[in-house]
Amino acid sequence: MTVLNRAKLFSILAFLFLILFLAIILTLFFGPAEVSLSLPELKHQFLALLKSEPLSKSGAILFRIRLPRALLAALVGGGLAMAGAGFQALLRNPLADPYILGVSGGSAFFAILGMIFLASIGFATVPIFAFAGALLAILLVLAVARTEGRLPVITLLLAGVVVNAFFSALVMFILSITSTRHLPSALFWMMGDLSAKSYSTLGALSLYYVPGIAILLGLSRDFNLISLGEESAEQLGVRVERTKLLTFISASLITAVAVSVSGLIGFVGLIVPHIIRLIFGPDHRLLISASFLFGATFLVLCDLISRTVIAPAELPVGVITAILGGPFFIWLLYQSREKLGK
Amino acid sequence: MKILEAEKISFSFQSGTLALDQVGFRLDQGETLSVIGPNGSGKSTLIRVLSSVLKPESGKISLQQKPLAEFSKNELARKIAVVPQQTQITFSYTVLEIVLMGRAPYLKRFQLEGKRDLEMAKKALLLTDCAELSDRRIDEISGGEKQRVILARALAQEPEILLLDEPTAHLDLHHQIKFMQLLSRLRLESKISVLFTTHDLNLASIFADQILILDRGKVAGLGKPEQVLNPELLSRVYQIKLKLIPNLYPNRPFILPEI
Repeated sequence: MTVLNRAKLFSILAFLFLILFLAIILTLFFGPAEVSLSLPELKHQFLALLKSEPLSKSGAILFRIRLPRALLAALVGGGLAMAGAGFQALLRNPLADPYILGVSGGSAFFAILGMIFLASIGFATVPIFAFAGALLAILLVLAVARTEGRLPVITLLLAGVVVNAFFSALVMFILSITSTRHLPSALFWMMGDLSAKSYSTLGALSLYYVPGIAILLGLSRDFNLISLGEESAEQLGVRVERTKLLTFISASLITAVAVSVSGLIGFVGLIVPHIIRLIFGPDHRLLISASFLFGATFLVLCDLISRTVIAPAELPVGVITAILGGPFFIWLLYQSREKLGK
Repeated sequence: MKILEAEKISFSFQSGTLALDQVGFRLDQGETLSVIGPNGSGKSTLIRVLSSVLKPESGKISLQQKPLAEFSKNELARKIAVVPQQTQITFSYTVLEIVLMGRAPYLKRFQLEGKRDLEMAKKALLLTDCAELSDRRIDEISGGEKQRVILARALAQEPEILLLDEPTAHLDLHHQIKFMQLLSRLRLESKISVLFTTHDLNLASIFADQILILDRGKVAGLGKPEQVLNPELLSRVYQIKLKLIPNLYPNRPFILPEI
């Protein structure tokens, strides 16, 4: 295996981008409604979309329902995978994931609070609530898991599971006392809801992502050095405490935004970085960005499965990711049982 | 030429334990200083203070006549490299990737390693007899090999000073001696100054130009092996009766327990 250089980095990222692009195109062809458009019509409809002109029925299904949905899945999947890679680097633990760490649960609870009690301020503020919840959850997990200044895998996972269960219960409680009318859709949200959002929602989501993604990319090399141990990283020039703080904030922000728009989708942040590491190696300067692209593809495809497998009905996408992720997590845990025993 | 100097440095932990109490020494270019002393005598703390991971409460450390605190983290990493006792590496990097991490202090934030960095890494791998390990995964090699790889990573930093914290603690006799001989060679070839801590008094005696004995954070002795290694002092520091065979090697006393 060659060392990472610019040519290798960009060709891998271009390859992953191509796969994502193809996956999004693929999903446009599937759905309960028949869509038949010739290529010139397709082009005409696409241009009409860009100019905000009215679309034909088929055009609207493609470009107002399926495409935004696919883009949403891509953004959410990419964000969760990248946040997962960030948490793993920071905690020096390949089993970390926003869902397993309870960060998603904390985000969800605060997002619900925001939605219910401050419905009037609109969507834009929900991610801020979710962000506060994410930070609270991760601080709680770290406080519980830290023993003698270290973060053993077992206590970390246990604390994460418990915090997640606790916040999920609070979410259910709030939902149950507020309105039974909304319960079915809320239940759906609890397992991941990627139903179509407007392009402006997608735009807002991307804006919230930008600082988080930029920071994680900027810290990529520090993550490599932190794999040698915090003290060694420090001796190699990394300002470890600052890096850790920024990573917590960025990964929590990304998770919070993803949860605010799509609810609880687990295991993406666990599976995706792991597969990238298996194929392309652990260098974070590739891993962080590659996880975004591959996570995007992964969730786009999971969403495709979730809305075709029992068509015309839909499954929450979190069901698919958990069905894939649960056994995967157990396999990883089984693989690392020797280390855990120590 | 003086390269590193500590004057009356003190450090205590949050618990209040005084780990270093007015410690001072001077390290010249190309010289090897060994720090010995019982468990808890402050050896590791000294390494952490010298590598600026911990800040001393009082006293002065100067690197090339300039206060240590005035160096940025990156500048420091280009001058001082540290080899810890043991390195737990989280992910499955290749040996070459690990060694290239030693180039980080020379790179800008988004800059990838270039040709010169690769050359330095390969040179460090050659020096440490690790060239053939280059493509192996770090979690697949033996403890002795791993310690050499970590040394190679430190050398890739092109440091002027190497600080090693019990570098041979987890190595068998063969690898202990090989590792120390490698250090001696490096010191001669590249004029690197070396400071290492050890529990092995004889290793210190054989390989060091100067020995610093720490006892509960205080300097109990400092000087050439034949001057500073005397049975009364060592017996007092280690609280066990020791005897000494002088000149087993020229000017290098050998220390044995008296049973």
